[in-house]
Amino acid sequence: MLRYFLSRLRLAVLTILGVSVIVFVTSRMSGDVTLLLLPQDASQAEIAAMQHQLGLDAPYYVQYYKFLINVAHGNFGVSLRYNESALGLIMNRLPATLELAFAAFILSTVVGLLLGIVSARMQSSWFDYASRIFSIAAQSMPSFWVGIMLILVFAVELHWLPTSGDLGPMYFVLPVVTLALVPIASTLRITRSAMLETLDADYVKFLRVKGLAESFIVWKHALRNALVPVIAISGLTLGFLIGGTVIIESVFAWPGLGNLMIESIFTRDYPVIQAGVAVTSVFLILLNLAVDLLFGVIDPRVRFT
Amino acid sequence: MADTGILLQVKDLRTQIVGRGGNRIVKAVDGVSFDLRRGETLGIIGESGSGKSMTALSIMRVLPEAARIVGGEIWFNGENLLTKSAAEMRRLRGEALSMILQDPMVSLDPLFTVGSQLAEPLRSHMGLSGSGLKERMTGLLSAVSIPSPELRLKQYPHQMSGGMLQRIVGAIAISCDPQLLIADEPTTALDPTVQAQFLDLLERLRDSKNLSLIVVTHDFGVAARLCDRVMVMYAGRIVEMGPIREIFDNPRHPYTKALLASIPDATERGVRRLKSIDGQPPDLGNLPPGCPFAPRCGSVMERCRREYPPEFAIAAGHVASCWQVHAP
Repeated sequence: MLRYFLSRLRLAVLTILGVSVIVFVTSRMSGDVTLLLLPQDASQAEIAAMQHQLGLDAPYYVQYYKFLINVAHGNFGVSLRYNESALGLIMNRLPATLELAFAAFILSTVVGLLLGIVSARMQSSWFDYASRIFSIAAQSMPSFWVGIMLILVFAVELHWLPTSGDLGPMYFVLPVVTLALVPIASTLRITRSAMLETLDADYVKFLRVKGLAESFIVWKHALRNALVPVIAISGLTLGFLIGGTVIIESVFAWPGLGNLMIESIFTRDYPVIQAGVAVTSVFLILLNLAVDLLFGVIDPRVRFT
Repeated sequence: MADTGILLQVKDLRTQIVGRGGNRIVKAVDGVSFDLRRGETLGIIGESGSGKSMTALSIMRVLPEAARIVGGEIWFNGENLLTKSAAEMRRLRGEALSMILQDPMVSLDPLFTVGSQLAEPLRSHMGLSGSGLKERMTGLLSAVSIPSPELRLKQYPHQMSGGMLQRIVGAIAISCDPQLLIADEPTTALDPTVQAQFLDLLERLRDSKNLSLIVVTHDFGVAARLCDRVMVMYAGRIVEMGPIREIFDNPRHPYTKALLASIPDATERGVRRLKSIDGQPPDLGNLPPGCPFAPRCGSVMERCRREYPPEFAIAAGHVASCWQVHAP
């Protein structure tokens, strides 16, 4: 188990380094931030002076090296726009995003699993067909459109729920549902097919031969086996959810990381983009590490190899 | 043999598999009747698709989703299993009737220890727990010749070999002292050296526990080793049934003869081409009107293609369904 953990950890560190290079280079390729910071009629000399002041005139590898040294000291630089610590800005916004993503994750896992199990148990029934149609529809509709439609129906027409913002529990409902729709569908589909496969397996037949109750077989043995692929995609689901908040946050004016990132990308606020991507990717990689370890807990074949 | 009463009596059993859309019906078991005494071993022999496994699964009532028992009676200890409710049947399974499946590598849930899977029937049927449960489990593993049972109980299926797993499956199957054990191709997935060991074990268990045994196999060698009687199945029906010696010495159905001829003989000198039966087993969804073996039969007659032959008695307990037997 320890060796398994260490090999996963080594991979995680390499992934974080790789991500930092990509973000560093692409954000600089998106344009020159000094053009946005200086007045339109600034002279070449003024631009050059600004670039020098921000350290942007050095070659990329020098800039990246300095970035890494600073990050190692916990310093992600200062926002070019707000003149505040980039990391501080990110950390202020992060909780709102995580609340949204985790609420959607829990919702999608619970609902997706339940629907998937019921669908598999009632294969080819009206319920099964309905849930399959639902999952195709949910995966095909763009989430920003779903968000807008939900606002129109439940907030504008019915006045049941608030349109946007984050001022209390009711404000969670629409963005969480919107965000969870796609992962509900994917969890449902994977659970359904894993469950069908498991219920058809010889060891389930043997459990029946042993005279065990069908509910015991389904909820103890079949569910645990069906969970293996569901856990395998849960890392991806979390990544999707945290990335997906960017769009959902702008639809619902959610004061989270996604909105800050969009702003920072438009204003070429490199330090904030870098800090934001670094924090989210470290976070996601740790989550994936946790998923891998959970895998080892649930499946002995992973643990012992 | 102390009690030679009849334990199991199957009468005109019919099991069908309904294909997709419900328009294709496969008669997997088509009017099978036989009985089994206490302590007796019956072999069911046939090719893949002959209905032998479906017969076994019908008795246990653990058929796949698409299969249905559409007719017949299965009397076990004086009770008709086909009129039992699902809950009553569940209580009988594992306790009075048990079964060993073909492939031990996939017969156990990979995510649970061997011990927890052995404990399940003991808890649910015998209400065992604590030290009584533990004692029984180690006793069972010793009974199937597994060394260091305490250690093995804590291990997972993937940590064991096929032969060891099949013995564990055997231990689970006999854990609640069943009266009838069905072994569906119990040695097919095992290495030849391990096969003989497992057959020894089955024999020992049968004799020590006075089990009635049904061995489903395609291998006459296995049948010769274990069985008192055999029934040969083809296309969902019994084509010949009798005491094992009688079937070996005096096979009457051309299909039985062909099966016996296709056994490789290791004692024969020189090279002999392995005999096979020409043609394919028939499509059970679309059977010809007469004898289903007619298209592959070497001594087919006109009548065979028109009428299905009834059972003809040949000797004591020996019957065959073939017009050849009847022919003057």
